[in-house]
Amino acid sequence: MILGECLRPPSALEPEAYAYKDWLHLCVFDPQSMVMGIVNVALQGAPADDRARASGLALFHRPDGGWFGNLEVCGLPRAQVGVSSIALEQVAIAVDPRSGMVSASVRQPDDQLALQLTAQPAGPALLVDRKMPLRAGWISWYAVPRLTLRGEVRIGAERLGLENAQAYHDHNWGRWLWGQDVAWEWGCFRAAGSGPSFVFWRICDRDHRRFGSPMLSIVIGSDRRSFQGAAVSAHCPTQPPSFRLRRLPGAMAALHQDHVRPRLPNVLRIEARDGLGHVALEFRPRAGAQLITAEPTTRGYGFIHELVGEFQSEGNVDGRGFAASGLGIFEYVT
Amino acid sequence: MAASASPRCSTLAEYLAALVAELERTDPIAYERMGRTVGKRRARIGVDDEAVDVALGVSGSLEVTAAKADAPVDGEGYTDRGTLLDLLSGYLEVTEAVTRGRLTVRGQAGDVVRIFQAIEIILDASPRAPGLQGLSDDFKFDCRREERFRVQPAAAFAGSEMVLLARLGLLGST
Repeated sequence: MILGECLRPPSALEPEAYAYKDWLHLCVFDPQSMVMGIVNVALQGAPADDRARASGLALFHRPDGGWFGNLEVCGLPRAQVGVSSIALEQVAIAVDPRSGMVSASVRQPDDQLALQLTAQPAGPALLVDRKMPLRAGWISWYAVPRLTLRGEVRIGAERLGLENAQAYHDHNWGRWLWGQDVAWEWGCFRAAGSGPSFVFWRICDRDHRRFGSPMLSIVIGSDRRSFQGAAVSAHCPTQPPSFRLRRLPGAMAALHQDHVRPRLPNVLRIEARDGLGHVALEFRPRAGAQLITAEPTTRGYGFIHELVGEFQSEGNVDGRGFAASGLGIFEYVT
Repeated sequence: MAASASPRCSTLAEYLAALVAELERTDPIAYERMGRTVGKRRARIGVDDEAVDVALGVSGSLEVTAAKADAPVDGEGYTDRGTLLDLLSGYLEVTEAVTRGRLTVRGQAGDVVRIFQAIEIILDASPRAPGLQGLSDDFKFDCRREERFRVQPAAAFAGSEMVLLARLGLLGST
């Protein structure tokens, strides 16, 4: 929990306000049903510019039913933006800045998805409060890799209680323009029960050939441990996916038909070793979604691929050995 | 007036006129590019039971007239509102719409390509044009006034090539 955690809109005088980005992000993992979900609310563009947009994404993947949910976009003034909350007509997330509790709501009857949940932090947070340089612009973030859940999600005709599910939450903010040389790889991986959780992150160019310093953070028990820099190696060979991507929003998917089957990782292998501990993790995606992000004031597009799947891991951290498997979401931005 | 505030659903002709007028207002460069792309070509666009002929007139403004069977056109495209909703909602790819017979396009290849380019110019301008996004929202709102156009999540994409071959009668008897 970060006391005072809040959205970071630019001042009216900030020269780079046009490049403003801010989002609240929640991932849900239910090891019993193997359902995974992403809820995200975002703001972009100078708030005083009538082209600035707010968006709300809710996508849940069911192994036997594929993706449910959709992306909602509206003018920023039409969204209800609080100190640490963004609410659109169909998708909303609010974070209590005192307790860190996350509340999320989704009402997408046309897309057969409804959700109401609260998520309570159940482990230490990860804070990157400084401006981490992207290849163009910068980003900051904080993450809570482990939260317990209450609530339910209705996917199609199925109602799923979330008492035994797990969650990951983060807040990202920064200044960059989609379409510039901005990309990253990020993943969160949750073992079932009280097993470890992992967060992986590295900035790169849009071709994923030149990488910034990688980081792998592990929450095991009540402790958090991070590996970074040369201690972490990651490898994710790419090929056209074997599954059909859910691509949103539909109008942008129609525009970018050359991205129907992009090359995406078919496996992610991470190894971390720093003399005091080591971790090996392998993730394989089983489904994916492509979110096409467009700049609201200048021509530019980014492609955020959300890959859901299973992982296996083993290692030894500070004298504690583990072998764990579970569900994961890997984000591959191009 | 926004269609969503209108007591009736907007017609295809009204939507097309509004789209091109909004493009001209918010992105004159894109509008000019569209003019260069389509030139003096005439296209026939049909959605459900409404069909119109469209062309850019001498003044550069869009001319929309009710389709006449004996009027020559350079290209034709036919679909239905359910397909457009599925496309806008991300449940259907353009190639799937064509291979499944939900979007029919006729004309010389060069003319058809230019019609698609004109559509892409509008799509490309839309993220920076709230008015164009508003028209998309109005269209969805209009469609939902009629329950029969409500979006249903599409079944997983499977065997579009087989669908196309079957439609063309090339599968033979089994």
